[in-house]
Amino acid sequence: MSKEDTNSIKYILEEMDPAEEIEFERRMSSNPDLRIEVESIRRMKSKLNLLPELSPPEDLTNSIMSIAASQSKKKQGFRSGYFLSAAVVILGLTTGSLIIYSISDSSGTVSNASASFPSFGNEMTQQNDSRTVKLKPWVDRQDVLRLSGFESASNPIMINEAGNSINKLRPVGKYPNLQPFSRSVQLTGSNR
Amino acid sequence: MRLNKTKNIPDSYDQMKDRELVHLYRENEDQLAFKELMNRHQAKVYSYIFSMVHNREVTNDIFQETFTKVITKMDDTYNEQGKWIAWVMRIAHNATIDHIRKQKRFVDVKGSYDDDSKTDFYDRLQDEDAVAQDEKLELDESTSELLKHISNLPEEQRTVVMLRHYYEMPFKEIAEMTDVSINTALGRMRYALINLRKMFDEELEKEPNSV
Repeated sequence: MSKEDTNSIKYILEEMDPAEEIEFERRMSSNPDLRIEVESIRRMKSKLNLLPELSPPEDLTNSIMSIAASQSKKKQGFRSGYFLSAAVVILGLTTGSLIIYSISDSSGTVSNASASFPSFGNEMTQQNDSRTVKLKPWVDRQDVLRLSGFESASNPIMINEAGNSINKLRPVGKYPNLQPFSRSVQLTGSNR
Repeated sequence: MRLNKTKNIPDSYDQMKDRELVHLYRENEDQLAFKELMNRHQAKVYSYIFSMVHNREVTNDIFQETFTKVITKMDDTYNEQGKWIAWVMRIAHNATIDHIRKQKRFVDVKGSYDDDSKTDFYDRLQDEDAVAQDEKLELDESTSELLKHISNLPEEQRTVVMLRHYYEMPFKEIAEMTDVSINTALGRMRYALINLRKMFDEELEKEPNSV
């Protein structure tokens, strides 16, 4: 197919850009054969407008719509399953992490407890707001345990709570096995 | 022809672009969105298939196969960047060409050549089908004649003519869909129109009243 043949079909199908179109029309005006060729093809192309536009039968479109509906149901089922699986996984992860957290928390409590109640005479430390506070236990004349060192703690709530907790501690007066010569200090948080 | 509007497709769907309807169907399983898409394009898809195979039953089968694939493959193979209808047309075109090629495989061309009519089996099959379908469709004479001539065009020329006619598809897209260069696609269109003109001229010469 020559370049002019390509141009003639492009011209008829309006596939040329405006500059090409003007140039082709100029050539056509000076070439009667080209003009006849273009006109003949154009006439044939216009005959294609007789082609009918047909519709599919209604039962066919209905059956396609039912396929679409069943596909949607499948997708919904898949999504429900997916969400259910995701929920189970999330639940499992949450439970697992809670268990791990509680284990580490209780071990942390134990370590805190051991830190809070070391053997007397030792210094203990507490983490508070990433600052280390050194607390020093001592026993007053009433055999009540006291802790010193709160002066260096920066959190007033923590100081207050720790102070309150310590003030609740009372010496055990009627401990059955208490030996009068015992030098150990018996403590309780109970008000009884 | 559009589907029956009594199926409660909201008017707002008329205003939506194909892309938006596709999104609604994919994300929300919105059946009405899919129905609206069908409404818009079914006649052209159906007509394209019919113009290629000239048989109502086969057209129905290919049409159903096309839309079944559209429904089941939309999530996997359609990306919302391209035109939805171009994607659908590609499926319809491939299904149609598959069918035509399968049909050709079953035809023993040499053994079925008819000396009297100077046609092979495939030529006669197309013509007979076209006539039978024309009767069913109650088409006027000139449309029947046109359909008959189109059915006698080589497959690749017929494809280009129909894609262009029913979809006003740009030649760039036709070339991509048919795996040829733009110039080849344009050439096929030109030869198709020239061949059709020849067929009409020959038909005119056969008429007893023609001078």
